[in-house]
Amino acid sequence: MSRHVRLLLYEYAAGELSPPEARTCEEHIAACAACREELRALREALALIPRRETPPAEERGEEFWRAFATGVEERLPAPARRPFAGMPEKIAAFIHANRVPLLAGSGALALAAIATIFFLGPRAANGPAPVADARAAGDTTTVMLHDYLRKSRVLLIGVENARAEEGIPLDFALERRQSRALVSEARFLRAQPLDARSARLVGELEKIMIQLANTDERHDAGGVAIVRTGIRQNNLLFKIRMTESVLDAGSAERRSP
Amino acid sequence: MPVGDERQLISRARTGSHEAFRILVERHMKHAYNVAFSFVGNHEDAADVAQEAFVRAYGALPSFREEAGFGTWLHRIVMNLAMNRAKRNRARAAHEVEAGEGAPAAEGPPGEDLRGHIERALHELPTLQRAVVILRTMDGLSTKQVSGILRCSEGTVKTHLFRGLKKMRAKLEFLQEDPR
Repeated sequence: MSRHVRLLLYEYAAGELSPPEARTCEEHIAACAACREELRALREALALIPRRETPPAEERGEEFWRAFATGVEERLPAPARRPFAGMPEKIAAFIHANRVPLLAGSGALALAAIATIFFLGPRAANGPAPVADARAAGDTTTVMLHDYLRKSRVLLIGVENARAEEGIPLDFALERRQSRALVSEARFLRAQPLDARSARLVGELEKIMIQLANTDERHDAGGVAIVRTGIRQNNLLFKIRMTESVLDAGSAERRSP
Repeated sequence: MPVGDERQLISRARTGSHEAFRILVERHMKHAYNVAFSFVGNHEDAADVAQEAFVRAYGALPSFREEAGFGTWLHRIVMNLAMNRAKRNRARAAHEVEAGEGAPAAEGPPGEDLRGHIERALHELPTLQRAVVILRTMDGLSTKQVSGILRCSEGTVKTHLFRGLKKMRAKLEFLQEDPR
């Protein structure tokens, strides 16, 4: 039996060979009983393997795919956690691609200044449109609250969905850092004139962020489970979405003449 | 937003653009879903695995060196996650069977039984053979594509395919003698 032909039998059976290769195979198979037997066995095996007429993805509707992409987006870490977040994308991409020479060069300070300006400035590239609208209206607290809620939502979804792989414990180091930053933001926000519903929600979120920030550095399945239970019992993700909708509606009202 | 080419999208996603990454997700999600489904065999797990793969891909973008295309790289992530999920599902099912030992086995429809035998035979193959058989025969990928995903030579893909199919046939031989 020829090893070369033997390894081409699948392609031959599936009709994937070029005509000259198929001819070579055919000639060999006609003369070799072992390869004929292999081909017969291969065809039998292939006949048993189920073939799908419709790819599984086609069984899902458009609504499913929209929700799928949104679901992925909601689970992504907040852009603020990445370097250059908030800058216009082209500048950020350029800096990212050339970061070593740029940072090594004397222009690093100037770039840091630009980065600071962009970081503190509008983040229209990634933020939802109503935030930009509210900012335009000069409502700083609303903008900050909106931003705080978005970051909290992304973080809590991430905590809810994180699954440990076999043998690899969950690492919540980033989440702990993020939650500490959000505790500070919550304290600042609670000192601002917020409506009662938002103030209550910020208070509840602050508590859960403190719990998350205090989970053990090592794999702390118990601590994370408590945080998850807190998220669910207090219905926090729903409350965040509701408050965001109210803020969006407020922005739209202010926008309309 | 104008749709740039994939490299541009990756570069923007690396700097934190969710918008750019969403375009990548929309381009590759159905393919990722189909690959996951091939391994896990049900819609719920396929959706879960495919979503998880995108989230991980986003986190790993800084280490993506673009030696392979984004699709090939993602395919590899999906496949690894899906194989782990399938393994976990099988372990859970085995545990449930063990726990329910003594109870009379439910008699499924003949088609269900045949599919079960095939799935079992497929999952009993060594990991690489199983991956090659699924990717090549069920997902319809070419030898070259599979070799890119599995990071091995085309010759290795052919060898694994040949051996995998041979083992499957041996395991399923009894079905042909006594088809149910």
